[in-house]
Amino acid sequence: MTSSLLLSLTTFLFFFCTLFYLSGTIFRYPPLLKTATITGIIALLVQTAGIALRWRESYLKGYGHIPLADMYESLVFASWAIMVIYLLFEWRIKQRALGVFPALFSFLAMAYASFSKGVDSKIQPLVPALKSNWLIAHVVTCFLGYSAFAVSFGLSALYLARKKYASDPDGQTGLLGFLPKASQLEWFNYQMVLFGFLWLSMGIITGAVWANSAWGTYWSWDPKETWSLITWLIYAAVLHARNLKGWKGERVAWLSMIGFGCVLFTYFGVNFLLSGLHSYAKQ
Amino acid sequence: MSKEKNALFRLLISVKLTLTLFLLLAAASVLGTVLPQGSAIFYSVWFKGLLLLLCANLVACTLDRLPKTIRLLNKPETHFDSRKLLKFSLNGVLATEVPLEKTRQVVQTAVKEALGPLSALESNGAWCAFSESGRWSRLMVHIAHLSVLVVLVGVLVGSLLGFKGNMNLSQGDSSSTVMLADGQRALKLPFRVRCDKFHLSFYPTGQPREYRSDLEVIVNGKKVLSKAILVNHPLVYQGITFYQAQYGRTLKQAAIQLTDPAAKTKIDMVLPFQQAVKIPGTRHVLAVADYQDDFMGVGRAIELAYGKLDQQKDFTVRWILVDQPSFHGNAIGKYRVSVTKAQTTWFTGLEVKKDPGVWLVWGGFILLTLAIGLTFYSSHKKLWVCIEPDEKKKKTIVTFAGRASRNTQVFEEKFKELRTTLEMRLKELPLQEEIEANKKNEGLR
Repeated sequence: MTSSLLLSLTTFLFFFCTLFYLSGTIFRYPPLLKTATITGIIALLVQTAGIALRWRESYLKGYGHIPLADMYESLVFASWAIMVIYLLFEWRIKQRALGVFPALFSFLAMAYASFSKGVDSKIQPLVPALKSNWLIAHVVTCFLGYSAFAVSFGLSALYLARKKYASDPDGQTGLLGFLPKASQLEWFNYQMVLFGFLWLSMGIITGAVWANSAWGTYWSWDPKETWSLITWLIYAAVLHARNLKGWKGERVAWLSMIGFGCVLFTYFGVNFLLSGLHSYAKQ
Repeated sequence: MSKEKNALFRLLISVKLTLTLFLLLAAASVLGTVLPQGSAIFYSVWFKGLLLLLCANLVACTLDRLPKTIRLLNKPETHFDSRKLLKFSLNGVLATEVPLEKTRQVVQTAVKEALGPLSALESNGAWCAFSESGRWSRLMVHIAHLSVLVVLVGVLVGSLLGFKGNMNLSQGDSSSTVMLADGQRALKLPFRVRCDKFHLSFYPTGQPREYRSDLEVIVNGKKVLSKAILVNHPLVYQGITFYQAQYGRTLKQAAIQLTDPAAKTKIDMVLPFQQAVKIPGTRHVLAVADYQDDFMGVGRAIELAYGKLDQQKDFTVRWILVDQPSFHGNAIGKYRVSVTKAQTTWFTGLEVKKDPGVWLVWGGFILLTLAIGLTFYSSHKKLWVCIEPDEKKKKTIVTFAGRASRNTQVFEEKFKELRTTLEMRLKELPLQEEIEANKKNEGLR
């Protein structure tokens, strides 16, 4: 049993999980949704085992480190975190019809990690700059934030769809009738943005502390730093607008989606289009 | 306050300004990363101006709202009655056969379980009380805002009282001079730092494993501290931090041969790195000013400076290629130059920094995280209850209302739960009493 086998299996499980969520919601058939949740849990367990095994394998190679050090490992972790956050959220709100986007994102992250030529899945040793205890704190906090924003993107999209295509945004009929009421979706999205904002703040802060001990400066306007700040500013605007100006609904949903666009750029755009101190994330 | 001042203040406390500044800062940052040489934006006056405006916005909002919050928190609960409670958007009314005193007990227990103990207030004819929790949560938003200011003050302190620069040390050399980041000035430290050795190691895969410099701190010629520094593990001495930032090969000394084509003479010289040496029999000196391991892809090169010692401004400077002895440009002044031996060694590049503001930045960060969390995940919750008898219908009426400063959806659910609990307990109470009374009667029989 190798980690790459388990992680390939995870990719397929996430694919089926997405299918189950999608068909369960469209056909309004609860047993399918329950199957989706169970598939999601199994996928997570397999993935957790895969990550643990990869960790062990790195030690067997003689340069052991937590598997959070390159593009491949971060994609796997992002996929894992999105599903963990979504399943906890699903368990708390006791509704299963919101899993399509999170499951899709988890699947896409795994698929991209596995099949893209640009992403190397070989276990690499840690370069000197990454040899720090801050690696765990920084990557985990950032990706919990990113993952919450991914779930928030899904919620915003469903909210907008519900507003736009359902004649009665709170109704129980029609293709989207199985979704929670628009007002509920709005509230869930707000909760998700809050959660993500808190983790992103911690991610930026742990990054600053780490940068200070590695490069001697806690802020150097490196593209990755700057883009995480841009993301932070967008979501800070969301929170201020919703709480103080009473913005609710579509404008907040659009801003949250733009915020997730910034997350994607921070993650992929900066790695591939801009150069900077974070270049080890490219491999 | 004059009218214009008032208008200015109103602009400064507006959320519109906050949102505009957030989006402008975000847009400027986007430009700063995608434009070529865009990062100059971050050091421009107008970018700093936006940040300053955001600070002003923060301060003004705090000045405007904090006193209101404090007044609200200090205000004693005033008299209220059931009619006032019905005006709340979140309210409920229950009518029960249970007598007033017993109802009161049920309500007190239920509210205590759900929110906290009730404090009673005098009210004519009715029993009125309120319960609240999380008053302090209203202050958290101000603390979050002020912690942003603490961070920015820390940045300011660091840039005013600290410095940043670098120091290159060859193996075995020591120095007390820091070249400041502006590239213009040098700073003298009250102690010397010596690099005993620089180590570079690789993984079997070829990737770098470790950059390590064995450093010593020397005060008045005495070694007081020695430490091996790595990336992520700097040396700190007297508040000044030395980071492993760079490394490379540097020249120790070069042996050269000068040929004077006119006089047909050859002169051999040894030039220690960056030290001027007189050319025998002349008034001129030569010095190796710089060295490159790979000069524009053609191998090792030394940069020679040539001139009269008392006329440094008129020095001629030329790059001499070590590995291309026949290169026609290997000449300076009237001489052709060939490098017979270039003795090199490792140097370590240290980033040197002093930042007395960094603790304010860390403190602000911790405060900011805690305050953001508490702002959104705690709330000031309050519940009011009035219990009064309805003489005509021989019933007891319970009126209650509630309000939360945040997370109202969650509070609403809690409120509904409380309502259900009350209804159930008040319904069960007569039954329970009946059962107990029956038991007692049976016992008596």
